Amino acid sequence: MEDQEVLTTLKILIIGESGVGKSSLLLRFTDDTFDPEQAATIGVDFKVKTLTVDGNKAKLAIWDTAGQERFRTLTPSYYRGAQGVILVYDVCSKQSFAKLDAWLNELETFATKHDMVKMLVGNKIDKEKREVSKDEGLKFARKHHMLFIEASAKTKEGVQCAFEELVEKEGIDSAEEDDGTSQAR
Amino acid sequence: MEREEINERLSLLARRMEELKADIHTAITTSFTHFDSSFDTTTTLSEKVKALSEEMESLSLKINSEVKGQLSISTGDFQGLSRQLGQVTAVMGLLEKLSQAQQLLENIAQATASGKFLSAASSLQVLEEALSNPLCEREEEIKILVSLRTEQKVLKQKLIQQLNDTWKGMVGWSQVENMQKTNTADQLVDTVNKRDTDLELRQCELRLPKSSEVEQQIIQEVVLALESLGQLDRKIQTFGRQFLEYVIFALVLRWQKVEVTEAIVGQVKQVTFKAASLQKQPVHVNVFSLMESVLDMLNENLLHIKVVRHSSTDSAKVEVTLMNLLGEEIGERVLQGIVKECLSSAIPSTSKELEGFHEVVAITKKFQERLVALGFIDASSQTLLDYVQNVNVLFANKKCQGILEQARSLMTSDLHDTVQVHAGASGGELPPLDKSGGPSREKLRKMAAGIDPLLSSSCFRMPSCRISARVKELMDLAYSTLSEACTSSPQCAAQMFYAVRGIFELYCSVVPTYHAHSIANFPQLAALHHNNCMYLAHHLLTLGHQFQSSLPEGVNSTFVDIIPEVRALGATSFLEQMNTQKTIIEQYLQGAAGFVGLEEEKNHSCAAKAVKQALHQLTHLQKIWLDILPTSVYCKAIGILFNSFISDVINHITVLEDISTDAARRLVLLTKQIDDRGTTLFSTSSQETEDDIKRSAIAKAELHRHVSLWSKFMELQLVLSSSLQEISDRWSDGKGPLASEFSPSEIKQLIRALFQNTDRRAAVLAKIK
Repeated sequence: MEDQEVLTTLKILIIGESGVGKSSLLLRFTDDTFDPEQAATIGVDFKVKTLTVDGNKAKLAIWDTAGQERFRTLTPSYYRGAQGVILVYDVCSKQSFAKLDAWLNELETFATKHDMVKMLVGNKIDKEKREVSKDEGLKFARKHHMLFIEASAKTKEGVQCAFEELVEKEGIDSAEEDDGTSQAR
Repeated sequence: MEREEINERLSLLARRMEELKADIHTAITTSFTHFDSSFDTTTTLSEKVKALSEEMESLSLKINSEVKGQLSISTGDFQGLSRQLGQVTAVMGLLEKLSQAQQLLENIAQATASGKFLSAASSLQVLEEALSNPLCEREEEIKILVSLRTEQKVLKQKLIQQLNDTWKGMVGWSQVENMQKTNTADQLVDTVNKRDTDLELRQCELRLPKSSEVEQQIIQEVVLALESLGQLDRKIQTFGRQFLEYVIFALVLRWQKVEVTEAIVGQVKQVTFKAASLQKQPVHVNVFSLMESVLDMLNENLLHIKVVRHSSTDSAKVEVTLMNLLGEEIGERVLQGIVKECLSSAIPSTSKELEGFHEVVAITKKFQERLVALGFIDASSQTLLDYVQNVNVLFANKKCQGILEQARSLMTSDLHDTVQVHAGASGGELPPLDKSGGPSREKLRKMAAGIDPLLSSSCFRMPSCRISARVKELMDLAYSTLSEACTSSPQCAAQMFYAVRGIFELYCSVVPTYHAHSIANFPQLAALHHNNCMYLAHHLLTLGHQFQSSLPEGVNSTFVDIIPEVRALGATSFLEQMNTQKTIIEQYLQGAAGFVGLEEEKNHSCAAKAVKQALHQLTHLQKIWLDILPTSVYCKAIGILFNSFISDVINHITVLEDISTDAARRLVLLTKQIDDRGTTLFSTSSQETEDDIKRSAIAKAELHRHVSLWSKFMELQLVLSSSLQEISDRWSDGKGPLASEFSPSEIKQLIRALFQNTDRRAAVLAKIK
């Protein structure tokens, strides 16, 4: 990570139910590692990663939040100033998908930026017992003007892509006027 | 014709004139002649009268001078004679009285000597009366009177002395200890083994005249004589006083069971009272029968004797027995003694016993009647009956007094003894909360539909914690008292309700005062006291409702007004304790001297020691508080103290001017220690079921939740061990976590202290704004 180029720093937030693999996605992205016994996040984790998208370098300040209610801090101050958010669910858990509304609700309550880019990630597609179809995820993402991708932190599939798309969209958004339509893949 | 007539008439007139002249002349002449002679006669007579009056005058003078003189002489004579007569009469009277007195004196002496006390006394009284009036004018000159009076007094004293001796010989009390002194030879029957008498009086003796005729005669004589000499009251007083002191209070009311043995010695019946056994619980039946038998005996042998007294209300003479007199003297005190020492303990202390109390009332009534029959007390005296018939009030009073005493003794017991309070443990067999006052089921359903249905059912439960065993007992006492009140008479119930309120009011005054020292000095006791107060307040919330319907109307059964005070009591003392602990930890940390120059071993060991001490104190608090306080309260309390501690640490480190590499390394180690200990502090017992990793995770989460500066502390730890690049990344244009905990100037200060002045440092510093 060289400092000679002026980097834009983007604050990215990862939210979602506990156990959907938020920390695993982050670690796969930043460190390219995977731990099947990944411990629950307490409070908040933080990672920095520089990404080059379309020849532009962006520095991502990624906040990985605790999904488990009891490990969350009382005031979710990490929402402040967030420019992008990755909302994660587990494709093998209907329940984690059903909770997405509540997470969106919290996001809208605490977010300070209106033009925040939202990305919905359906994780754990390597697993067999799928409970949420790709279509359901896509529909939900469209309904809420979100980007959508399915991924697996374990197999690496879709992870890099998810972050890159988010940054790309962020770049478009900051370069052009937001046309109000969201892309879904 | 007329002329003629006139002439005629004229001539007639003339004639008549001539005749008249002649008549007058004669008349005048005659009268003068008579006058002359009577004048003479009168003159003569006048002279004669004059002579006579002169004679009379001289005679009268003569009489005056002579007869009056003689008269005065004879009057004087008469008076002199009268006086002589008077004197003679007085002397005779005096002599008569003297001889009478002499006679009386002899009588008295004789009667006294022969034991006829009554006649001696009456003679003495006559003599006293006789001698009390002045006999003549110049009494003081008559020496015999003086000596007579002296003699009379001597005799009186002698008589009294003799009466006293006789009385003493026949009547009296003696305490066994003093027997040697008071007993005369003939009364000395019981040789007393001194070893038997301990400090407490357990034995006393009573002398009474035998009931045979002779002795009764004698004692009657003595009593009447004493009465006529005005000495009886004093005797009865003394007798009564000793009766009270030696028998009633020392034996009857104290030991309840008293052995009575009788023996006849000469003229005297010797009665020995001996405390038989020590019964702690007074039995009123025993006391009553004992009293009756003692009074019976006294009555038979002595107190039946009657004397004549003036009635107190009018001047009529009434006969009273000695028993009456004794009763007047000590009756009320005996009754009060019985009430206080014996009946008061017969007053029931539970509602059950109350039902059996009518027997006590009946027995007391019988006893009262017996005393009235004996004449010991007046029929109008209601001391005993008033007392027992007032049993409801007495019962309530005794009950409430008992409750408060019990409560107080619980409050003044040690707080150390603890019991666990389990969350959700309800009142058990106690009446359920009154439903009627609450919202209807329909309303509840509507409410449930309207609000978040996830409201925990344990919302209003007392959390698990430890409280003093005595406080649990105190609360149980309140519950059981109110339960008992519900089945008691309305009056009693009201009083018991107020006694329960009294318990809590008492608690607010007694506990903070009595345990002030321990609460202020021992953190575990402060925590316990806090829990105790919260526990009481928790129960007070519903206590009133629970019993409202069973308590008599008009009793506004609520305790909620006491709650704020009770809560404040616990909260205040616990907060004070927190402040004390905070100060202690601050003082320990002062030893670190601001963490300056840690690269030097001396400074480092000081800092390490200070941190260790502070952490040790926190761990100590964990040990004693974790078990006692509800988990949530514990976390809050320890969180505040720990936060205050790390706040001091952060404040010290962020102002350091220079942190060498060694110092930074050592600071990291110290912060790591604090980090580890922090996690331990929040490892609470409620997490026991979880596995180790999860437990530590939960502890960390609690740490985050309750220690507001924890994130900042973690960031500081990272900064101390990070490279410039890492710090810069964590700052991330103010979008990283470092930026949300530290201000740009704070972080710049830290970077300047940690890193040497290089271009890289300048570049990083430039990016932080």
